[in-house]
Amino acid sequence: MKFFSRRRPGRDQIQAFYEEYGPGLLLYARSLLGSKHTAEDALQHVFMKLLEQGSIPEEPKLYLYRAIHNAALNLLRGDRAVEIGEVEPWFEAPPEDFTARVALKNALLQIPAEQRQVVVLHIWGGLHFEEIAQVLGIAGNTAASRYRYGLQKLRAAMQPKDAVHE
Amino acid sequence: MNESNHEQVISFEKYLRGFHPVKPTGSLPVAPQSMRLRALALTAAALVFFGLLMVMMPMRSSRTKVSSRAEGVVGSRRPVNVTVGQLNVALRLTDRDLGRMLDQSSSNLLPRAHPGTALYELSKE
Repeated sequence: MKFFSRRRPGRDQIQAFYEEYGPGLLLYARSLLGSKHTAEDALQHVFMKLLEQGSIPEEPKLYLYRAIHNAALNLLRGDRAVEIGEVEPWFEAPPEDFTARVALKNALLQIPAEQRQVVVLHIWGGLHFEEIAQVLGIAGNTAASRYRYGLQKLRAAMQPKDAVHE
Repeated sequence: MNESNHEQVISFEKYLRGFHPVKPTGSLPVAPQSMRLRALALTAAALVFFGLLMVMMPMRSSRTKVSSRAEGVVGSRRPVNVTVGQLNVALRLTDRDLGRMLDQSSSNLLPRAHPGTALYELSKE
């Protein structure tokens, strides 16, 4: 797969990537690592590498999600344990939905990690199942089925709020 | 998946997308250390280059002055061919006259043992 073009990245362009994809990438890293601090380390690592590359990825979003996935796994291998009990919010929600964002975070943490990854990548990362498959190194069908199960479990975990919502 | 279930899924996805992930607290990292070091090394190399250039320039110009002065000396005094007759005349004049004549023809003087030269002729006397 060809990830890079020969164009040299301008800092402005990478800044634009950071602003556009940063929140989604951070959420994905947090869904793997738990800690915001550790997830931000992974995010910084990814963008530092991009600055060092000297070329722009042809598919920047896919490249960045793949890079954050690898960075997060490396941190996990390096004994940077998941901090489930972290209190910092994962989402910015409207003030009236303050409890909902807490409920959503808790619900996401309740579902299996492999399903959570796919849900986060699809809903907040905006990746298609084929792209998710590339990020995770799985088949597209597997990504789709993990998403289906993950979404069901997420709904179930959020049922009281979901009932109010509907 | 029936129609109403599908609609519920779509609705739930829409609901979830209404939540926006928090933004990273940090800003975009500054240029990585390797890039900064490379820039530093380039700057240092440029400074060294210009420093050497500044040192070399005066030396070069002084050398140019010396050589041009030397060229001026040679250029102003073209070697003169000296005949044996002239040499004999000069020998009979003062040492100063002989010295000046030898000076003027110095670049044309060949080794003493070279036949046909003034020195050769002189050495025969």
